[in-house]
Amino acid sequence: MNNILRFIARYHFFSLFLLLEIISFLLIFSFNYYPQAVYFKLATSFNGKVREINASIANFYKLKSTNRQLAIENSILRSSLPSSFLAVDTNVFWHHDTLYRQRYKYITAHVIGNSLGKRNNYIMIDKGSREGVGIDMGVIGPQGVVGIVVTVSDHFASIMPVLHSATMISAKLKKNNELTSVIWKGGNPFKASLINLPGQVQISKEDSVVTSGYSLIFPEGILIGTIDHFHLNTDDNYYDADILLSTRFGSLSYVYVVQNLLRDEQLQLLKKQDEIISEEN
Amino acid sequence: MKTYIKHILRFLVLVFIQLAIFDHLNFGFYIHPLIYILFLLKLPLNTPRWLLLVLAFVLGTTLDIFQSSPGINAAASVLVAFIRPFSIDLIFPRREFDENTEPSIDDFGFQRFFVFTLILTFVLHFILFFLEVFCFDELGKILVRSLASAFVTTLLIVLVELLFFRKKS
Repeated sequence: MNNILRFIARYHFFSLFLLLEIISFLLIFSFNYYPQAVYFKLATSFNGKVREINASIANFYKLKSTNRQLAIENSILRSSLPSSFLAVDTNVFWHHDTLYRQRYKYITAHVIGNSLGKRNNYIMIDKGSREGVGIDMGVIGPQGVVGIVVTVSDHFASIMPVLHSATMISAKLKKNNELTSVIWKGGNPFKASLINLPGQVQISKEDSVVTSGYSLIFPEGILIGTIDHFHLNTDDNYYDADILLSTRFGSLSYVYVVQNLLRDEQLQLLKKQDEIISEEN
Repeated sequence: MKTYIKHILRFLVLVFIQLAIFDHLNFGFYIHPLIYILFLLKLPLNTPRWLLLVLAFVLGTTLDIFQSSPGINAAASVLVAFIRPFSIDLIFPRREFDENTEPSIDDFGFQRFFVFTLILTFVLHFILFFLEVFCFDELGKILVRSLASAFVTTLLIVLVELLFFRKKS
């Protein structure tokens, strides 16, 4: 024991270095795997306030582009109102209460923290669990998909946007419903990549890529981006394709959190399905 | 006593500048300058080595709290503090100056200060970017990113040095 103590005293510089690095790595490994859940909660209440002030200043300078984005979205929404359709077939009756059950609910939120330059970026919004935001809810913006909620505190939530190494969004091509996935390989915040797209599928430039709706997170058909360039990888006969993201992450200011009201039911069904399969084996 | 206050102020100002300005600037998609490391670089040469490590850990953890990236900045800046004495020995095989001077252009000379800064910032960026991704697939990209970022950080630090730390002669 005495020898060990003497050894540590002698090499105190190196021992302290090792100790501090071990603490840092423990922090990295214990909190980074599922991004920062606990750690973030500790830091959020304090950090959130600072960012809110910061965002309120930045927001002023973005007013013009935000207005434009909202106006465009208004016009799109207005054009999808029933009043803007002409009834062609008078035999169609509407039974909103029985035939249509509301599946998705949207919560408007304001972006108060954002980053682009890192490999793993995060967005913070000013709505939290008190407003109904929960983990694993999808987040969309006026221009398309933004990301997935990873942690919530009472008044704030942190979002893992498409610009993150752990992001993988179930997607499909709008024109022929072919299934694929969107990931981000880092670097350019305007572009993402498509994986698992087999070579038999016909694709061309500017094809729209939208959410598949299979993941319980995003509704079907939300725009992710358009194909920018692609080539067929002859080794495995899959495409290497880049898409131009429709969301401009740098100028994001208002987003919608998507709440899937039937999520629990779907999850239960999946669980039952797993049980049956494991029983059969 | 006065020097303590000077260093604490420097710490606060650099952390603030890093969080308020440099975390929000996009110089290009590969460059993310980390100016906060100037605090570690400018500690006096006679600072006890254990204190260097502890200060680096505090500095890194402070940034981690605000950037919500637990441990990453801390690990990188502790490593920088660890190699700082060795890099000074490497650049100056024989010490030619007073022990309680701070590393500066006046005392080191421009070239040596530049190299000193470049080595340490490169280590910082490389470790930081690597820990952020944590896989070897993107090693080439990380290397390019950290070289470019280290170069920009070094330029910024030299600029700050020239503007604020020159002795009035």
